[in-house]
Amino acid sequence: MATPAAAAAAPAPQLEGDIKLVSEDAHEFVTPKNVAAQCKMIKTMLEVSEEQEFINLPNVKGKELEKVIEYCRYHVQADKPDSGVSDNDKKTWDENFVKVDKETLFNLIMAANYLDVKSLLDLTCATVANMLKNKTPEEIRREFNIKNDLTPEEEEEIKRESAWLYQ
Amino acid sequence: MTEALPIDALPTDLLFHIMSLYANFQLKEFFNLRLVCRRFRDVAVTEWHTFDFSSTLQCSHFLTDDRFLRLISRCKNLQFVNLANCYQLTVKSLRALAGSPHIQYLGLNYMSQFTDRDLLWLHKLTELKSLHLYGCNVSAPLLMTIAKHCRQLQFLDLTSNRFPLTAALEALPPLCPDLRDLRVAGVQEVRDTLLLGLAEHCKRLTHIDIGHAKVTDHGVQTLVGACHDLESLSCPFCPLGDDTLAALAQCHNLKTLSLGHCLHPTRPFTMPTLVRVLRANPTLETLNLADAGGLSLEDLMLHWNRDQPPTAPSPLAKLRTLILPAKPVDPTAVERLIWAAPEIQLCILGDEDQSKRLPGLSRLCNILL
Repeated sequence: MATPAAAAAAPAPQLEGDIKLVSEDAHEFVTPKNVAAQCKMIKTMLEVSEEQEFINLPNVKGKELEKVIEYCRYHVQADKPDSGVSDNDKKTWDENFVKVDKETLFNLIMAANYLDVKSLLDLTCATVANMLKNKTPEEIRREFNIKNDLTPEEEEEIKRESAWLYQ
Repeated sequence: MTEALPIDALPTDLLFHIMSLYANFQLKEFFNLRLVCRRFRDVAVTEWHTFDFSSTLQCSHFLTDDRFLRLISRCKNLQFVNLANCYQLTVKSLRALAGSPHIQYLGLNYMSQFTDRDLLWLHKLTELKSLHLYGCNVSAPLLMTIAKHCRQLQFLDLTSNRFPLTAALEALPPLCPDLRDLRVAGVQEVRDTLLLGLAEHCKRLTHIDIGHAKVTDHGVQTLVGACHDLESLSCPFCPLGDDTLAALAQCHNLKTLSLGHCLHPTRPFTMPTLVRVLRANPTLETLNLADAGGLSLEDLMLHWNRDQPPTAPSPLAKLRTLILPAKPVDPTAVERLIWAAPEIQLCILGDEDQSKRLPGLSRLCNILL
């Protein structure tokens, strides 16, 4: 799945070549090491043992692993100083990247957290944070399928505390 | 139809993370989140780190000590608090804030009800990076104490402080070498010693506002020679002249240059020097030279591309705001300005009647006296 351009981007000797990433559901992705190393967890494993040919990732499914690799590959290229990709272009690409169904978004958050890709974790979490914005508690519950377990008394207490904002 | 996101199944640390990103939103949303469910309520109460009470009049005018203390009492990671214009708050709130050592941003603009003794609580906030005290009453000993304890300060606004701060401002640069943005416009007795100290200790300075200061060309020259990242220099009503302008040709990242009402008795600003500054700083977005000697739009338009090849980029390409002394305005100069500075949105020059008669001026968003 590696592009020649991405493979050529490996600057550090220890990150030359490819590594096979194996997802929880046994999908295999041959990925340039410098792309895979965008995931801090994988980078650490590569540093521990340079000679390994594959890494098992038992907490990430193939669908999400493919997306994470797509994200890392794009940013390895786009973040180079001479890439010619503007910040606006990157922002637009990121916005399009997270236009996925909610289940995938949720799994991407988990994958980014497990693989330790901070920028992807921030991007996906910010997407969810934006989905919370400007919604009533009831709308948030509906949007995210959350059961309201607050007692009427607890709800009343919170409302009392915030009443001054609505005077 | 897509499934609902099982956000409630997220591990608590990830829910924390989402809320910390969400925490930049409005206070009303903080209460909305608390009303979703118990888990959301508990995470929001402890994780919310940003309270901007200045965002609406409703927030600032009705915020009392009791309300504020209830809001922050369980926050374990308070980082950003803006209390500007919250007139009802007393020292009780400041004392409570002192128990949140991770605060990095504190806005207290226009809170002139606080005394020196009240503000002394700020010295407990040792991780402060941004402190906004516009229009507050800070004495020199208090500023010295804050500087000694809050050594990570990067932004400090003391604009319109009514006490002389000369000694404390001299001591500030070595105590807070990370300072990037210092605003002391209107503070009495600001002198060259501050600029020399900044030049020696705060080389990452990007913004400085010293309006009405008693500084000289030498002080500004020294500062400009040492702080190469300077983006904003604001020195209106200072006795500065062409030597200051000449020094600014050493800068390359200036975005704001405000030298309005600077009238040097012997060496006023000259157009050739100004053009050198403009060519060195094509990044310039705001240029304020109101009432600053014999400069005029006509002169600027005659000089800005003199001796330059026709293909040379315009040094005014990013200029959005231009303020020049009131002079009779030639319509041709306005046409040339619009061509040379395509981004320009606000131009203040000439008298209003004359401006209205000029063809081309209507293409600018605003023309003011």
